[in-house]
Amino acid sequence: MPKPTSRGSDKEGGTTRKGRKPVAVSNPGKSSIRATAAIASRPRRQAASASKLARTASRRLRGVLQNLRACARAIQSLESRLMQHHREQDRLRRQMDYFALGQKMTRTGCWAWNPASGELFWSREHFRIFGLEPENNKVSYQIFFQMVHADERAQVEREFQEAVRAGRDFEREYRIVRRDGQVRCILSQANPVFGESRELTEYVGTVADVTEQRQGEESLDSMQAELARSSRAITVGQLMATIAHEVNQPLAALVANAGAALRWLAGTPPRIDKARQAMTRIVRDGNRASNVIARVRALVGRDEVHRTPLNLNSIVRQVIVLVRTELRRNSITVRANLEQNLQPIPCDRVQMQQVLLNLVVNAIEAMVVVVNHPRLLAIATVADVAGVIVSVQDSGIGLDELVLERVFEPFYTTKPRGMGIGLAISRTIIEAHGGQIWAVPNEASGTTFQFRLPFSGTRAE
Amino acid sequence: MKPSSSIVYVVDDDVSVREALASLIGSAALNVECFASPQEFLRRRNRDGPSCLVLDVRMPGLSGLDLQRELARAGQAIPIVFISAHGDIPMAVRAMKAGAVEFLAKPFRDEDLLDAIRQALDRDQAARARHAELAGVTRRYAQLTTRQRQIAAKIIEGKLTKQIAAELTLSENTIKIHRRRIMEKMGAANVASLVHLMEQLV
Repeated sequence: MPKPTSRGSDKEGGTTRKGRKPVAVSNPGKSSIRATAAIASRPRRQAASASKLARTASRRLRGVLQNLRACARAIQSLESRLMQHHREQDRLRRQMDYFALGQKMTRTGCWAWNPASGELFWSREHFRIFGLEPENNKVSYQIFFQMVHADERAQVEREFQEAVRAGRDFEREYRIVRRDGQVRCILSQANPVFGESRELTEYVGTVADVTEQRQGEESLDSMQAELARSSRAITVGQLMATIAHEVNQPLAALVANAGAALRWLAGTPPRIDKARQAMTRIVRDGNRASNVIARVRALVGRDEVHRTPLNLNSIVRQVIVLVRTELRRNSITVRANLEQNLQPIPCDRVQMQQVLLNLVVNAIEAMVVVVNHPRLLAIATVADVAGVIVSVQDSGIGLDELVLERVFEPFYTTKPRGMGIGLAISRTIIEAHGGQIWAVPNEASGTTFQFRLPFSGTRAE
Repeated sequence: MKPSSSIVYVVDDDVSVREALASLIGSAALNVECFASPQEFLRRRNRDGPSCLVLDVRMPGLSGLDLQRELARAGQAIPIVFISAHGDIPMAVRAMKAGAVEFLAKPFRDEDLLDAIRQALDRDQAARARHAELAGVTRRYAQLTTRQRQIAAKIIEGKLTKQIAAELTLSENTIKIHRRRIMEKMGAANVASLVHLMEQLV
């Protein structure tokens, strides 16, 4: 074994080590002779140098091991970081999948819009809701608004622009017309995102397809409304028919008798006896007609009226709920300004509902024809020491003074298909509760109907 | 003024209306007879002379419209003036389509009712005249013998005596005698008038 090296190699050891130059080994024959001689001649020096070598080797080995361990640790940590990264990626990917699934399941898409650059991002689900394909369709602010139903487009854009200007949240329900012609109900919500210097950087929002819900609600609502309308119409209609028949019979007899009396008197010779008989019947028939009216009044008077102390605010809220669909369909904004801690008023719930519903429906009908300015229905309750004033204000076409004086008269109507009964009945109800009802034109546009009910002193009838 | 044989029937369940109409129609020098129900009217004793019916629409039991239908089915064509305390348009349309003279909403002007009654009586008189004429023709036609009917049919086809004689293998003289008898029995002055009379039988 040529392991014990020569002095030369020993001397060189420190320098050649690194390079592992096989100097001694290159010529084994010669060097081994020399080394053997050296060993034989200097055994002590040899031992010392070996132990030194061992120490150095061991030290270096330790260093290498240390490095190796550090390396392993580094690799390990790198590996674990890599794993972590994979997991993170996986998690993110899964999250994305869940997010997309969530969007799909809730039929909610999301969007982001940069008002400065006009850049608009739509999620895949947003595209789907709008009946477009992300691969084949580009989107923009203009394209979006083109898809909003023409009836609502201007209003929605105006509201959105107002929100953007004010940096406010935006929430609005509107209909879109998809390219395949389908009309969908969309609930859109958006929040502004601000930069470091509080400047608006973008709007981030969601769109939810609520068509099915709304259809369900609407059919339910319209069913309820239809029911309310028809039951009311039947009652009024039947009552009218009964009164008409009962009064027209004696009136017909009365008019015929009067005609007969005149004819008997005009004859030659005049038949005074026949004329007198006819006139006697006129008196009888006249009384009969008035009895019919008295009977009808008694009938109406017996109508179940339950007066209990009620908070008028709750009736206002109920009526708003009842006409919600109607308001939404006609893009009417409702604002309720209700007095807090309103003292209860003794009144009949159904009758009060009837009065308020009548006023609100009139307000809606007055606003439906309005196209060039906002449709706003404002309902307010205000209390003073003696009672409560309820006002229903519309921004509709308005009524002129002459009409306002007459609107509460029975059978007076400005509607093409109106009967002129609603406000007359409302007045009867309010007055029976010891209150008053009146109408005033608004300063800007439209009309305000108000009634006042006292806390006490309901008139008994 | 209508002949005194004409009569106005009034059917209304309301006694006030019946009394008033009886007086009003009486004051116009017309005969009037009142009934409280359609059933009562259907049991009436039939009279000759032009008549019409003033009929209320809504009555307990049989309605005025029911009675109108009932009369049409029984072939009793009597002009009807409807009166109703319900100004019901579909009802009025139905009544007018079924041949009513007028549909008046109660209360009505006395002149409107009397005008409608006069119009109804005129219509009935004309119908009766037509009916009487038809009855007369039918009665006269019934007096013809089978042979005479056969010859009459050929006459109104425009055939000459000679042709008829040939077709029936009878002498021209025989045809001439039948022809004279036919004209006498039917009360026709000439062939044109015979054609007119016979047409009504078709």
